[in-house]
Amino acid sequence: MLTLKIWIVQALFIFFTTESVGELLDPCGYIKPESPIVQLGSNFTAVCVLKEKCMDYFHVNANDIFWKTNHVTIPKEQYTIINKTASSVTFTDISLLNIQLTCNIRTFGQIDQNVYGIRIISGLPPEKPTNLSCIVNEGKKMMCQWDPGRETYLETNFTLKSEWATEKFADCKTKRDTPTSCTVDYSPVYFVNIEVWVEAENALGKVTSDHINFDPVDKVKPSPPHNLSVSNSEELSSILKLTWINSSIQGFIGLKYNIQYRTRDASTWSQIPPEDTASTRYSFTVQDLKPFTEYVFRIRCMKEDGKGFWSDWSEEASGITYEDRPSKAPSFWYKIEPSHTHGYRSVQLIWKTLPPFEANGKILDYEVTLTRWKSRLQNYTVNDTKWTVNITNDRYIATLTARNLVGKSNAAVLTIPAYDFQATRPVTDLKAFPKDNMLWVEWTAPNESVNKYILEWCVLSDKAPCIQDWQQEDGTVHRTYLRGNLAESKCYLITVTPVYADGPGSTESIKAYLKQAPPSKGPTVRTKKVGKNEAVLEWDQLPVDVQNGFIRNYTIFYRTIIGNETAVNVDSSHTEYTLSSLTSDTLYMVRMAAYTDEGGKDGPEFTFTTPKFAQGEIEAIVVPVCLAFLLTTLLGVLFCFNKRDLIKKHIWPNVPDPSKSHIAQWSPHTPPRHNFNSKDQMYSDGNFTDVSVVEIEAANDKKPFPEDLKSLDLFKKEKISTEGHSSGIGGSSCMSSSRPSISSSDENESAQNTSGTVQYSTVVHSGYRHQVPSVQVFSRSESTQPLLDSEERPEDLQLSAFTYMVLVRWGRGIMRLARKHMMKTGHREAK
Amino acid sequence: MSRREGSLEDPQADSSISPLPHLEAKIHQTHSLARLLTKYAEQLLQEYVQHQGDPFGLPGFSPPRLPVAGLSAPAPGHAGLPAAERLQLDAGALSLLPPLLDVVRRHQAELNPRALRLLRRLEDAARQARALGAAVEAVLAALGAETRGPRPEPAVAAAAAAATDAGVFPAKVLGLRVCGLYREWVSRTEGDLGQLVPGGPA
Repeated sequence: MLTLKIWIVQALFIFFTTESVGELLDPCGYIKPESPIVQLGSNFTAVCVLKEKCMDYFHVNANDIFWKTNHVTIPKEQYTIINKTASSVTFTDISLLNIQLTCNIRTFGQIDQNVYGIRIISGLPPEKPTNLSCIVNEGKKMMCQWDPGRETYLETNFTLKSEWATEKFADCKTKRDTPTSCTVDYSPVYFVNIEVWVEAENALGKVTSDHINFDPVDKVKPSPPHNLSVSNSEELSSILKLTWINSSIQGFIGLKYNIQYRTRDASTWSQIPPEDTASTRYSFTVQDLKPFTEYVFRIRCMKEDGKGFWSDWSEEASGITYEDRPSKAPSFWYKIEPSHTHGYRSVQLIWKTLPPFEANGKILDYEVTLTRWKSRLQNYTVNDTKWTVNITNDRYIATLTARNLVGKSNAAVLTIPAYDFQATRPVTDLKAFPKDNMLWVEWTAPNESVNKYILEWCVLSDKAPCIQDWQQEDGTVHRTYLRGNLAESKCYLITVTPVYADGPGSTESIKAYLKQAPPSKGPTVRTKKVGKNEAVLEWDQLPVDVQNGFIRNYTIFYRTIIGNETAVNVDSSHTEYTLSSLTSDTLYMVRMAAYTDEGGKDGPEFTFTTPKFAQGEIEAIVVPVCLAFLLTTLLGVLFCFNKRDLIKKHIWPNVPDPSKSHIAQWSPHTPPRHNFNSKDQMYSDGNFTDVSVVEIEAANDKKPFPEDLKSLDLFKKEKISTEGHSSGIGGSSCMSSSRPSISSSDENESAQNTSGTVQYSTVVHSGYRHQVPSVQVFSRSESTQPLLDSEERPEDLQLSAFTYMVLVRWGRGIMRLARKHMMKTGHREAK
Repeated sequence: MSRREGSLEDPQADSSISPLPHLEAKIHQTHSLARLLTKYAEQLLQEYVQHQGDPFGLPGFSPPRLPVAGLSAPAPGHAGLPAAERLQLDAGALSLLPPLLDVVRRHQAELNPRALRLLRRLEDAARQARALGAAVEAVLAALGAETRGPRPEPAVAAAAAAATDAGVFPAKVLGLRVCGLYREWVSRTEGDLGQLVPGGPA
């Protein structure tokens, strides 16, 4: 009873709670339909119905309803007022996939209230699925797939339905991630026709594909044959027998097969003719295979009548055909060692291993025979591919055969000519060129019949020796490619030697690249000579290791700091080039690029400065100037020398030192002498050997003026008073100045006496310093003493000054007379 | 790679809807089905015996070959009958076998609920027996022979169920007998159709 009461209380609580919550959440109205799904492009109408209670509360009616889609108000033109409480909105041609539609009212105070909201989902009904097809993987369940048609934008379910004539099978519903295929849940039964179709359904409709009716065995994809094995036959080296185990379905249906095979190193498959494998079988013998060659096989099957699907390929199986005797003789050549002992030479016979398709088995050894002309044959068995033997200088015939488990190859024959054999008859028009990533060699065959050609090649390098590889070609071949492991950007030296019956012909060589590339280093340019307006550039040829191709040309780029770059192309054979029209005293930057057929590479930049003057230009200016200067100087010196008297007189007259003056005897009859440098003579004791005597000639037609005589008298007086104190006028000297020297005591008188006279003479007063001249003469003073020497002896200053003045006046007169005399003399000499 | 290598489906097999098979093709298809089901029936019988325990797996075990719900093994004189009559007998037997196999499956589901493969085989066998019976009747119809309507399944099933109510061992024996009958009639049908297949035994 208590339990019942508790239960009732709980029930009432829940009831009231629910009711009250319902009241709280009771909207003002609602929209119909509630969750519409609309077809894209169709029309749609929604109706909003207001509740009376709400209308009264908010004092609104249907006229106050406005609609919004995705928060955007819908134009009122799309509204329809159905009655007081209901308003509808109509959309035409819906194109949005997802629309939020709300019904709203505007209450008192322009406050918008949201009444109700719905979400309109748009989409398309499903299209009829097409291309329904099924596959039955053997041992697995049937899987069908189809094209679903257009995008519906809605959740669309696809259901694969199937039935027999006698019963229906369970539906196969697609998974969300694979809506276009479905695998049935039951094992298919072969030989019973089944009908299959697909139903596509979403909110906007349901559609069914066409029904297909088939026997599952006609849609089967068998499991591939397994345990494929390959066995060879010792009797036949050209066959391999395949055996396999068929899949279990072979018990009910006939199978046909595809058998494919290839050699181990091949990438493409060959196929056995399908008509040979058109029925169920467990083995097959493949014929026409190469001996001692590994073949890889694979096999697949399908229903014999071609209905259904091919199985996957089986796992690959391989087998090797049995050996056969070598089908070809090895390539055979020789090299003669450089060292040669008297009467013998060392010959290295070399040969190539046979390729597998010619060896037809494992080569066990080689048999070499050597036959000297008209001599016994010698047999050797060699395991290597070279053999060195000393032979005489005679001609030899060598043969070579390769041997495998089954037999021997044909013999390769080689004539080793005698020591003095002169090779001739080379091939002509030898060419080498790359093509299809191979280096081809082509030549014109000599007129004579050639047994075979030997092609040798090696990589030219500055760092490594030329290690030769070689190959042999038949005598009918005149174009082949080098079958070595050639590298790109390497220079190959290729030689072709025709081999005649009597020995090898002379060789022809050519250089070639498999593939050229730009040089890995550019040439280093430098200046050989730089002139004012030109520069001679020089460079070294690039080493062959960095050329990477044939250097076709060089380009020299040069520029100043501010100028544009200039490019000059230079032929590859040159190693120097002269840049002309350069600007003097300018810094130039020059670099050089070397070009192959594939591009170029710049070398380092080099700078040089053009000089301001051309070579020899300075010398051309300086030397003439110097010469001119020297010449002028010389001429000046000569002139001075010639005119020294005149110059001395004007520029540097001798100023006699009165303290060292001598009074010479006036000797009108003494011829004038002009020895100016004989001081010693002049100052020798009592001898005036170097005295200039001015002769006052009568030719002047003048007699001594009385003033002069008067002065002489005065002089005499003074002489008496001064007891031999002498005075005179010095001769001219280049190193002395001409300056009149006058006496301070008798200046006015002296000036009057000398101004209008020409009486110049040195009055040499006898008795100077206790010397008594025999005759009274006028003599020039040869003194070099400074004029003011008397300052050192103040006691003599007064007298000396006076004497000096007198003598200067006399000297001037004498100088004038001398000039006139010289002029006259010059006239006479000229005449 | 050739087109053949890259093509999964032979162009000739592209038709998604099989044409109405003519008589020869129908006989051939039904014969193949009978051959396939014979193999399946053999496998079913072996698997059934495996799951029943001793003495069913013992070499000397040989329960009596009694008729089940009126269905007996093909009579020795069956081969001497005309082809159409033989096929009519085959079709009749095949129409009786599915309910019996269903009864056996239900019983095995109680006895060996973990023997899922056996249960699956029993289910498939019932379905396949119906399919083969329908195919034989289609051949008969194509041959212009009358087809005998199948016996009412409830009666057969009731008879079989009554047989299993006796106990586990009788139920197992019934199952063994049904599986045996299924194999014999499918095999017999294969033989009978084989005589109709072009190039088959006369």
